[in-house]
Amino acid sequence: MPLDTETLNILLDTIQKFVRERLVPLEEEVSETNKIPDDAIEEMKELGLFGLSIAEEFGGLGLSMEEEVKVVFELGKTSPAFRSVFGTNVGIGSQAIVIGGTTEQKEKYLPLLASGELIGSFALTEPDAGSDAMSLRTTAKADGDYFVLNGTKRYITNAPSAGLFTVMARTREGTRSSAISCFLIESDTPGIKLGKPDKKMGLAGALTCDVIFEDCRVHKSALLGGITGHGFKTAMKVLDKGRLHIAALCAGIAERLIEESVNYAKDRKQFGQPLSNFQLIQAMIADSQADTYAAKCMILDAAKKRDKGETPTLEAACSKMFSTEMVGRVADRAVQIHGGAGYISEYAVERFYRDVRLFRIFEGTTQIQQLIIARELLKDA
Amino acid sequence: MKVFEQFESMRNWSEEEQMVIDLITRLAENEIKPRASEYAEKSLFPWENIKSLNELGLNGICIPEEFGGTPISYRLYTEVTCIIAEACASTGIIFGTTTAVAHPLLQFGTQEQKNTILPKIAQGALGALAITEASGGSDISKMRTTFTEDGDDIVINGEKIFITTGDVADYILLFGHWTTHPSPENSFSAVILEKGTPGFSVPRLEKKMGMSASSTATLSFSDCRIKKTNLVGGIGSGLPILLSTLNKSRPSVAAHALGIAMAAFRDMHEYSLEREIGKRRVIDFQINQFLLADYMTEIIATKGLLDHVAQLIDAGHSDISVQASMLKVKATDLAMRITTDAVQMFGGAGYTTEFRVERLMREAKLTQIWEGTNQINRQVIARSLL
Repeated sequence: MPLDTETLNILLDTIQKFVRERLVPLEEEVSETNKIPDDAIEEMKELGLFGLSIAEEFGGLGLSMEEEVKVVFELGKTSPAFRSVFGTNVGIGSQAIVIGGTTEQKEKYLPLLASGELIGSFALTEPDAGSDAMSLRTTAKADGDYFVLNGTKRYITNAPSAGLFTVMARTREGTRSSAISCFLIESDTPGIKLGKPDKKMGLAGALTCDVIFEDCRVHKSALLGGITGHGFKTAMKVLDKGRLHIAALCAGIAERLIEESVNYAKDRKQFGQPLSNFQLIQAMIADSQADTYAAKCMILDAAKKRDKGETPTLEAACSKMFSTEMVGRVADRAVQIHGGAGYISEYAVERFYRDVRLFRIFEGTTQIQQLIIARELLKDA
Repeated sequence: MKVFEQFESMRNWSEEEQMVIDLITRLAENEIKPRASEYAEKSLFPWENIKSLNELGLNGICIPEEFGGTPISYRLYTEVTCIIAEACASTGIIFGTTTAVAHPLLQFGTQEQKNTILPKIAQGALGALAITEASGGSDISKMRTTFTEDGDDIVINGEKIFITTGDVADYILLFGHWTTHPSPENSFSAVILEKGTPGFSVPRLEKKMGMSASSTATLSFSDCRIKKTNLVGGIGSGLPILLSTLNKSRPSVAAHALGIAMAAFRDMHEYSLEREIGKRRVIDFQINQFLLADYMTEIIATKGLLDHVAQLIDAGHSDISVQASMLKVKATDLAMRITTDAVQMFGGAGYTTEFRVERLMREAKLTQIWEGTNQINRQVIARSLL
């Protein structure tokens, strides 16, 4: 159920204030310690951030897609590591259950995910299967009422803190999508091992690592929706929805970067006048603003289509591709406007520049989005 | 790759020059490259790499024989810079910065300065250039560092920021304004200063996006006293010294960026041949073939431009600031784009520190900013058209 305008505005104001007053001042600490402070996580729980996309009947806020992207625009105005804490619960770590879970699975897990008591994590990528999800090798062999999983998942966001993994595994040989099934596996199940946290270019505070399954036995009730063969389709649907969320995050970050750039350009003097008086600087700021505006318009359009019950696969792929590439350009200009200072760690733009590089890669690279867009256009031709 | 081999074969290196190139290529591959990632990860100054370069006598390649060096052409110097930077960009910076101090001393220094300092640089002493201040990056009129005459001494006051190797350099070429000069617009001057001079301190080292093995320091001068004989090129010669330094250091930055670009190109090419996606190699996808095709074309074009500018310098042309800026913009923008696309080709792996492309991308960003941001360099180019 969509919120009324007033309630939505109150929510957006609250989040804006939380971002500005609580999270922005913590950015440097998180970057140094590679950890989000526990009390900040508690406050996120109280604000309901873990349950943005989960229905009210399961304890979430049940936002429409349009409302969710508006919230995420605001969350983008601080380090994306903060969003990552609850990002998997809002997106890839909960949506498989929302889309394809049995009533029992929904009742068991969604309230815990919505409150943040349980962290959900999505395990699709493998050492030899990233964008090419169909070639994944993790197997789940049936053994009476149980399945036995073996394989390694790579770069799994929030795996170190996860209580529940949504795992894609092969229940049959072959290259048909029906060979892949989806399992909901609690992290304390015997046979699960975690690798060391990956060392990354950016996103300090948001941890990823390998998840290794060694003869991990799970009851057949862990099978999403109680049926085999739907894993690949579910994964694709989950990623489809997540694309708008990531796009909105990028648009929010772009706004923060423009704010940093404008402030610096007005403040910093060169050749006797503020940087902002120079046309080259004005051009960079203008390009960034037009880029960001375009991204926000397309994200809102796609979100509204989704809320009307359409499946805007093409629009979501366009939004994800454009917004992630766009924020890369905006971050680059922001560093360039800051000059030498932009290369130094004490300025936020240096950190954002490294952070945003991820978005063109995860949850479907730009190249995968291009293939999706082209496929949508070619299929009816 | 035949294209690169053919290009190299047409560069007409002498037998001696070819020997230097072969020697440095081996050193870079066997010693410098293997140490690069650990130095970067731990933000350690790459002393072992600098030692390796000195053992080959590389610090002396911009210094005449009479001062104990083994001089080579500027063109060969850029080639050497490119090879070192491809193996370890931070080591490349330190090497380039020292030569950037030796060049102006050679051109503008007194006989005494040459006699005492150049032999030490030839033996491995490091140099640093101190230009940037908090109030002025690319703008010299805003510089606040002052040189005040006091009998036979000069008293220095001021602060410099973002000074490459400023904390470890043995000699610092420092720019500021001469306070007793009658016309303030002509007071800009340069002095040479030794490490450890009382009144000179390093209050701060920066943490940076990349190039973390090459240190970046704040230098502070508080009534720091040096002899008047440390003045380089006379009172008010700061601007010609600075311009001449930048004319030579911008092609050097371009060579450095080209080294980073080559490293990214080789990594991409190798990865695309080895990595398979659904039984097809990455390079079997047309989209990746076109990417590599474009970059090979651009690298060759930029190498050609670098050779052209280096030849101008070797032929004694001094009015080359436009070409130096064009080369700097071209090479550093190329390094940025190719390293960014290299990360993309590696996908998730490219975002982790397991592969070098992640570091290369962070390193390339600096090349677009320092030695005059690319925006300032575009202004230099555009001014010649007005």
